[in-house]
Amino acid sequence: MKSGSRLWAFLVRDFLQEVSYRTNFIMQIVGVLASLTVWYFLGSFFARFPQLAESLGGMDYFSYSVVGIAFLRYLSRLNSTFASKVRQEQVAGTLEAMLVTPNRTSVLVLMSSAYELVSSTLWILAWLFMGRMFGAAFHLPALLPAALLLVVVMASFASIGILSAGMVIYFKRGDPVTWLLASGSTLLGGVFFPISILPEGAQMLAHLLPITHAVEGFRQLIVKSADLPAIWPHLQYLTIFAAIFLPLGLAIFHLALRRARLEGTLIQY
Amino acid sequence: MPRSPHDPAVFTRGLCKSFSSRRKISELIRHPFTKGRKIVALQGVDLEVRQGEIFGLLGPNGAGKTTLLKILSSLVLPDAGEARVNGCDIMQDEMGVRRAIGYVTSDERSFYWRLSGRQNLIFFARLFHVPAAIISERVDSLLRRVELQAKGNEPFSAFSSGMKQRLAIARALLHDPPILFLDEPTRSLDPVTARHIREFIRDKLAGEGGKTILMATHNLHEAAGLCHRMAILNRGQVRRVGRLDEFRALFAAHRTYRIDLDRQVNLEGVGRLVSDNADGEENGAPRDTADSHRVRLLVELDQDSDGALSALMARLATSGARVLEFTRQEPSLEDIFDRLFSEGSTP
Ligand SMILES: Nc1ncnc2c1ncn2[C@@H]1O[C@H](COP(=O)(O)OP(=O)(O)OP(=O)(O)O)[C@@H](O)[C@H]1O
Ligand SMILES: [Mg+2]
Repeated sequence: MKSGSRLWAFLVRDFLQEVSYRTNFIMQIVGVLASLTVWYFLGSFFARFPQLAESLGGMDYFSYSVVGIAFLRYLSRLNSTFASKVRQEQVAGTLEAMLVTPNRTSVLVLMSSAYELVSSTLWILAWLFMGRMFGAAFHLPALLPAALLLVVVMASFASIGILSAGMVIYFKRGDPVTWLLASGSTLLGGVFFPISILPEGAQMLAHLLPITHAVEGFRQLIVKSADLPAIWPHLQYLTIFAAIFLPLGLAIFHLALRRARLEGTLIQY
Repeated sequence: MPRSPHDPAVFTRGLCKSFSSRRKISELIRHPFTKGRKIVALQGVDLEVRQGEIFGLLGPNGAGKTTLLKILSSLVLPDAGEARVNGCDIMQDEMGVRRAIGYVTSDERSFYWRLSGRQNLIFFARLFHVPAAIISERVDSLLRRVELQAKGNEPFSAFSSGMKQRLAIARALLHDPPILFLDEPTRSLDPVTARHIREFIRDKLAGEGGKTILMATHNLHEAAGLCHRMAILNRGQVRRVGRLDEFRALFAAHRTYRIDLDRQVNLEGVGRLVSDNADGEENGAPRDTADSHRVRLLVELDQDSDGALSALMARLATSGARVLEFTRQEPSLEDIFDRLFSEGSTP
């Protein structure tokens, strides 16, 4: 009950801040439309090569890439939100004000990203919906598998974000791991092209990245209308990933917060 | 936590804190395991603030005032020593500490600029676990108390410094804590607004509200007019604790006389010549006024050395100089604090 009211406080706070930037919202929509237009034309160009669909697992390129981009974007937002929220609040001086309230520091910092979690998830849905309007071959997926997959994708992406926030707080500078992961995911995650065209070593690496499983799983669900069995391996891998990295991320995060409190650096930037 | 009214509101013993200075990345790579330079912020601070008291923390820049307030607010952990706030140990029971205190930072930003004053307070009220049913009412009454009711719906970014400060005080009162920590509450305020805030602190917070207030300040007149007792902090150490009149009495031991003469007189052996801070004149320098040529001397005598004044008089009488004026100088607040701040700080 209590934590519900705190969570609500954070959601309201960030929603009010977001609507106060009205033009920002319009810019976002314009950005989405512009980006979809590019991929739409790229897709219709690629449609001239029928053998392409075969190597994409029977999908057209537009549908393929729209799903890939959705989760690449999701990954980058969830990876950076925790660290950047801490930083924002540090610079604004609001972190200190929050930290003197009777709440655990970790709860406050994690809840600060709650809105971003919600809004980036809604963003995916909106992006996929608009992709459908542009002619992507999307179908409404079976609800339960889609929900399960979304939860483990969110958990594994966020776990890296939390870990990254811990590193940023601990070392007081940007962390190269997330940056590497983001670039690696763009290149190896099967976002823009299938990983089957990569060299063998790179393919193995690709299978370790959570994004690979996220995009493959969702392509199966919404393009191929597959059911639970088809996404089972992806679901499994992401669950294991989250089960390792979520506790690890939280542990490092706690450690970093404790050290920051000793050094007095959490509230100083 | 049950406490008797005689327990101190804030208690510290032997508090120490040092920070290591920030290191460049190149240093980190070359010497990854050596520690950075230490900056000592507090060394062995013992303090007791009584319930219901307005207690001032005074000291020059970097004395450790803010660090002390942050440790007491559980924002920063001390290296050594112990502290209790409202009976709660700052290390063992930080939630108890946070429930008992309202902290007003010296940083006037600390709010969400895009939200209104009211929305900001509602957000923090939820974090302070104010029951949902009474949040609205609580926020409105606090806005009224700090006279912001008319501006409550304006965005924080449109607030003046004085309004921001008042909103910060309102935020610190959301959970009605018995103790308030104020870090330079009138910094960056114009004199009229500052006085307004001071009266509010004295009459409403301490007076009617019965709150214990521990405040850091640079403003000597503020401390003199507001604080029941104060601690002089310098280089991380408490040099003195007491009331202003006790501090005054300390320096009554030194008496300063201003003597205007028509010529220079050697006073060696009867008193110390001190420099005249007020107009920055060289001591003993001749000064030409409209009517005559004068030499002004500021002489400090030890109260406890008997007959020091008689000796001075005798010297003046035998010198053959004409005494044009002879006045006792009352030490100004600045003089008193100047001495207090420099006490023991010469290594
Ligand atoms: N997080 C930190 N990291 C490194 N040094 C710090 C940190 N916080 C404070 N210090 C240092 O500790 C010393 C005490 O600082 P503090 O801010 O407590 O002084 P203050 O009495 O509040 O000064 P002022 O009157 O300027 O506000 C200073 O030398 C300061 O540079
Ligand atoms: Mg300070």
